[in-house]
Amino acid sequence: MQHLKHLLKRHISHNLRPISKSLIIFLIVVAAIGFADATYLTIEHFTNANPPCFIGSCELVLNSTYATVAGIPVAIFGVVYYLFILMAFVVYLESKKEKELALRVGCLSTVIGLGSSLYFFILQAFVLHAFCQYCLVSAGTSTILFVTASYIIVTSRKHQPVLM
Amino acid sequence: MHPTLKRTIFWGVFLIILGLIVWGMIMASAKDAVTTSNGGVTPIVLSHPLSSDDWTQGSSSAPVTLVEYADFQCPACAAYSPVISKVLAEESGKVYFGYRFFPLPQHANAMSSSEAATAAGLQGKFWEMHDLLYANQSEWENAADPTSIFKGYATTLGLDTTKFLADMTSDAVKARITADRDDSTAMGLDYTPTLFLNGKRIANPQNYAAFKALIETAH
Repeated sequence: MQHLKHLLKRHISHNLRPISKSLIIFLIVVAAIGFADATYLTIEHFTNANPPCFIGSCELVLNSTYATVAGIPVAIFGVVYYLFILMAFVVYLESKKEKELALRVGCLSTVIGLGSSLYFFILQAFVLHAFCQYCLVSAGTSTILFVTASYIIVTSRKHQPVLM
Repeated sequence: MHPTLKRTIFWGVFLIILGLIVWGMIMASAKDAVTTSNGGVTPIVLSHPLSSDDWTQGSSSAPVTLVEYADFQCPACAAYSPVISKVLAEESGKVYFGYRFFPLPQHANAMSSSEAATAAGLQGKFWEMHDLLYANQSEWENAADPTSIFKGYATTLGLDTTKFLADMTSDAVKARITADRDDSTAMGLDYTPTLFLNGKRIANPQNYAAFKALIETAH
């Protein structure tokens, strides 16, 4: 009985296994790339510029009706999202008390980026029939973030007793 | 090291890195504004929206506004003209299109052809003359005095040729064209045709399909 209680406690508290620091730094770097990308597109939007495009047709995508929601460029949501992820993992590195929470929130949030990127990818492929390299970079960073975060969650849980 | 100091340094460094990223992106964006690369053009915002002073087609309440700065003697403009007409016909009701004059100095008959179109416009046949001028560009582009050729087009269109010839040389018509030309140079336009989609200069689409897609995604 005592043993079961202990297991239950461990399961509920969801203690994640210590994560290698380099994996977290990798996540921070990827999120920083995404942040830079989204920041760039936001600046381009507000300066009425069309960024140079080496593949695809950015102009078409970035001037489309899907590029803004109620006048707000979707790139801004990207800035907020990547900044949030960035902060979560930086807090994980730095904080002692909130490590657990920061890692959990950071990892789980990556699904938002994956979902949004999937939506924008579908729009580009099937609605606009045009791709924008900056949007593809963001799709790449958010996918890497999601995969790495999933890896962290899955491997840390593997070592926990299953109570189902 | 004192833990508080350590934390302060950590977050300080983090904020500096974040600031550097933002600064880097601002610099990168500012650089785009001067260097144009394939497809991308220097961003230019349309100087003033279309008004009743402009030669326009379509409804002013249409979701997409397309403004062309062109020169009747420019071969690229002549090549673009049927493409634009086709897009306008297919996207009927969705595009408010305006034509503005940008007669280039190297084209001897750019000014007079613009005058011919404006004079025809005063009799309600601007677009008809616009089409004739482009379709028959080779006929008048090198003419020493194209007036008689333009008069021929006016006759074809059933215009009052006396009024047409008088309007062609009137100061009001000239002023109307030079106003557009001065506007073009003030905006820093350096090629024809220059297209503005919803008030922003766009790189000229490579073909009809690209043009149509561009218009469709703009509304």
